[in-house]
Amino acid sequence: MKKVCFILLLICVVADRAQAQDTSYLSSLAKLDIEGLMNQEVSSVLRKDQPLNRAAAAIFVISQEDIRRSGSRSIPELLRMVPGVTVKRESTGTYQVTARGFDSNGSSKLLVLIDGRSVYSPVFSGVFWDVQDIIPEDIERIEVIRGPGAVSWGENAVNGVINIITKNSKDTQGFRAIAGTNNKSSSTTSITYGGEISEDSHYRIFGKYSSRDSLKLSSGGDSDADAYFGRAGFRMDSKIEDDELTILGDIYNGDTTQSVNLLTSFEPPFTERVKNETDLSGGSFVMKYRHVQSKDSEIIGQVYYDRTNRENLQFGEGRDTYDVDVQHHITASEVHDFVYGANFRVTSDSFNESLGVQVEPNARTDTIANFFLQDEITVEKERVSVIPGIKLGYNDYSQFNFQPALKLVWTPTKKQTVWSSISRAVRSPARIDEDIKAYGQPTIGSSGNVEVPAVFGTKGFDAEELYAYELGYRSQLSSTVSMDIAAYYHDYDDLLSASVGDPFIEETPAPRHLVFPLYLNNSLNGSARGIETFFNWKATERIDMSAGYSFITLGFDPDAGAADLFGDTLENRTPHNQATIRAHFKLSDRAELNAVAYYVDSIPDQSIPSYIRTDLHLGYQISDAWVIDVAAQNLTSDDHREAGTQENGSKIDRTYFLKLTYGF
Amino acid sequence: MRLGVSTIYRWGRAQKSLLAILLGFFVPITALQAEAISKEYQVKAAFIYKFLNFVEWQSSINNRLICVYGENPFGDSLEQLIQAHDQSSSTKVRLTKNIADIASCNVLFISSSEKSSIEWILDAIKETPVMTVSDVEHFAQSGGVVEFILQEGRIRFNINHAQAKRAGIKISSQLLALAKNVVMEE
Repeated sequence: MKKVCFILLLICVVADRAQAQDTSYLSSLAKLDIEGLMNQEVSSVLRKDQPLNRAAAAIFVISQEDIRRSGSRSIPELLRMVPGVTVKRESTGTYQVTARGFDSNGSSKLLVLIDGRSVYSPVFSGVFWDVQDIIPEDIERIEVIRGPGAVSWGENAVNGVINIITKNSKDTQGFRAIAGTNNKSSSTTSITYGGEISEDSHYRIFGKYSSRDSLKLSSGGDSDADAYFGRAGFRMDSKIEDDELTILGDIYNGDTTQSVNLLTSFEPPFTERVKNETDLSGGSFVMKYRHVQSKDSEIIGQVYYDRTNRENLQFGEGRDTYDVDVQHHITASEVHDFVYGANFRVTSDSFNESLGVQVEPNARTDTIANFFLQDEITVEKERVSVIPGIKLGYNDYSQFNFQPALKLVWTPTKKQTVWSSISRAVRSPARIDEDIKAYGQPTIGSSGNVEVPAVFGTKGFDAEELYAYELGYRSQLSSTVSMDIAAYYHDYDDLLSASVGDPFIEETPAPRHLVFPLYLNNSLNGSARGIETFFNWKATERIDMSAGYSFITLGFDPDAGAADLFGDTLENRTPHNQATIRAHFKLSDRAELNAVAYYVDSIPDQSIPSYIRTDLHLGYQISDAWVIDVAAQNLTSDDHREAGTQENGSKIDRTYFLKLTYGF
Repeated sequence: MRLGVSTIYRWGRAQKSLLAILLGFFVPITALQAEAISKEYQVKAAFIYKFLNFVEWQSSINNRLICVYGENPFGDSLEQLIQAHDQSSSTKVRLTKNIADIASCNVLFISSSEKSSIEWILDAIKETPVMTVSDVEHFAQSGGVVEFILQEGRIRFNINHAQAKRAGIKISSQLLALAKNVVMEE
């Protein structure tokens, strides 16, 4: 038995003792019976069954192991490891997550799904990450696709798709309680219990509560963004012969408080600094049925209902969404493999307005319908496939849209895949584009009148359009090293912009004021190009390392005759270079050490310098039932800011975490 | 510049980052252990070891001979399993790359390195009471007795009962019930 020795003597000693424990796995196997052996998981599900290596897209999968190793407490933090994805923490619980640029729009071009349910908010055209607090230990995997996924995924899969899949109830049996805290007075507790209804039916129920203390502002003051959150839910999985039924439900309730300058009137001093408490509540119910007709044909049907409520002094939104989705996957012949389906969604909202933010009409019901068809044509068996696809959509704003895609997959050898893709995707208009009216900060003009800028949505706002050209290469370089590289050119048109309108006088609400309007329109176009690459090295049975790097450059221009209002911001808000290095050390059968380092380029636009962040996480299995995790985030970098300006951006500094897990 | 304690305190952010990266990503400085035996093969070794309890050979001799033909993927897992159970066990393990050695084996694991010779090996010993085991694709169909397959990250096995009967090996119905597929007749 050879030894592995490291620079830090401490690790050397532990590893040495660990070698002797290597055989403990084998001796535990010896005690099992045949059925027990059949239950042993020896490889990741993904690598064998899913033909991920043949996917014609820039896909990155965050596995259960990645989640456990990162010690991560939230989904946005987990997404930092994906090349091409930019994650910026704005404040305590709010994050900006985007793929391939467009950082200032708050994920408007991302489709984010949790177990098939879209969590994208059509009124803000973005995702509120603070309410997507799934228990990380219940996540099976997160699939992140950068680039358009229009054909096979849902609405708004323009710059990327984030597909979060929770574990099957069969895999979360027994009792588990987790309590975590950090040195910033935040804590999270969750309890999960999984049981068996019958041999083929399993369930789990869970409850989670978290409280987060606010971060400090980089300017020194308190960001006053405390947050409290409770969530409970269940999942049930049944196997009915060859078919599968899955039912999920959850409800949540919480509030976050943030100090804001609230517009209270058009009389000086105009605004009041208030503690704006946002009430968050909602729930969802998802039912999914997978019918396996034969090994060549399966039909998946899904319905869900989702309710979200988000209310504070600035605005309040209540939304009900009903969604039906059916897909059929059929391998018609040795040459043709079809997937086709239809989706129908009705979403209905109502708004409470404030002086500063108004929505006209303040209640609306929208319908979205889609039909898609994709054929994987085998040109040469297990070598070359051509995949044409098309999605036809209808929505109440821009009516019909048409999103075609053509992909090619070539596997010259069993260990290499080359893929390329040309596709068109659209970001359908949302409530915010047509119906919004928002005032900015009023001032007293030179003539003594009250002057106030305002942004107005425009009826007839068009869908934003993308033509994407992508090329990628994946290779298993050796039995221990794999690499993935993707390059892309994105050509955008009809991007959100605004035109400056003639000032006009508004009498109400009194006193009269002069409005300087900006009307939203689609007068911006531009492009993004970049490269994303990822390497994985399984150095030994106990050491795993990976590295990711991405580069992006963006350029935007207004259409002829139009004003360039947002172009510069869009160009400069995304850091050009980002890199991640991760290392995992299995110290023994009970202990693991994980280290991550992130490099994020500067954002000169907001005076945010580049930063390097290093995290360490140590996990130790105290006994069969107890596990302790200790982590330090941001060990080395000075306090840094990731988003916002010097006045209002939050300070991200060193944080220590402690987590205890009890389970049986 | 002397690397004293005071120097470290004056290091700038970049240097601190570098130190942390080195601490977190240190490079092993002595020879690394040759790739440890994967979980997959440790479990397969355990299976082979357990199979002995479910199979009867006509010969009444107690000592069993487990042979591994071709590249050995098990390391010393088989030996360890036997030792752990019974230090003085008469079950032995033989690693061989010589076709002449296999006739006296009770259990013969054919490694994937010998994939191209499988057909004629099986043909050569088809009347001999040898329980052939492998994880090469279509092994059971080709006349092997036990074929390991990987399904959703877990190990399953197919049994060619017809071949077992032809070779004079009796397989317990308990084991047949646990197999994913059983080949009954040719």
